[in-house]
Amino acid sequence: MPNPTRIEICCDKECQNFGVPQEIELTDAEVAALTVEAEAAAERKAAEEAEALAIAQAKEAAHAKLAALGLTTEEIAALSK
Amino acid sequence: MAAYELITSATVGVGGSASVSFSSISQSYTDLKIVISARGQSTGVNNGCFMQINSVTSGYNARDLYADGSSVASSTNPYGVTSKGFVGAINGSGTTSNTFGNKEIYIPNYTSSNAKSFYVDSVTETNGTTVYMDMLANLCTTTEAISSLTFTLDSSESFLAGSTLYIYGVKNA
Repeated sequence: MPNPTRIEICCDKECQNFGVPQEIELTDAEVAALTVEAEAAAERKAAEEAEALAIAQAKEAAHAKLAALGLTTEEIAALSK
Repeated sequence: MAAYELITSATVGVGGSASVSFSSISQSYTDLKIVISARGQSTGVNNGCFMQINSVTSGYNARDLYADGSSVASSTNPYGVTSKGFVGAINGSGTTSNTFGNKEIYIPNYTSSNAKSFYVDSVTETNGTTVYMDMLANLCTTTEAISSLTFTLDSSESFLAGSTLYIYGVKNA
């Protein structure tokens, strides 16, 4: 199975292929580097989603406590703005 | 009065592309402007788009003011990436079909021996309730004159067919 490709365009008018997109197959090393980058991005995204979930759960718990203290839904919403 | 001159352009073909590079950029202009209309491989609503100057892989700092249609927020170095400059989101495959995100990147004094700043206006487009608008101030500490620019997407995903990138030279005299 061929590797993914990238596009390179020479912007020098003296260049034989000036303005002509060259489709270049990625080397195995480049593909490996992209894979590492993709895995790191996935880990980072998972960590961000976990943090966002924790924040959402904390907010929900805080709203419940405010409601138990007698605040109305409108008052709790106003505090969140 | 500034004059814009199209240097060249790229259109991603069938099969997509992992990156798009403009090399051997003439040093005869004052500034550069890049206009991108693109769609990415992500199954979500957006792909992060990045720009690398020459072979520089460090010293990038992005300050992002962004909105998603219902709220506004700010962040520093989105996606936690400092090895290239974040230039805003583009449409992912989870957006309305055949619809592309658009952005403009302006690089003043790209041939100077100073650090390189560039600013970005960027939007994703979709027939839905969530879109992303980014306004970015970027700085790269490299003092090299810019001779090449490479564009990639987050998570090593590919630009999809029909994506276009135009690079313009701007002469201010």
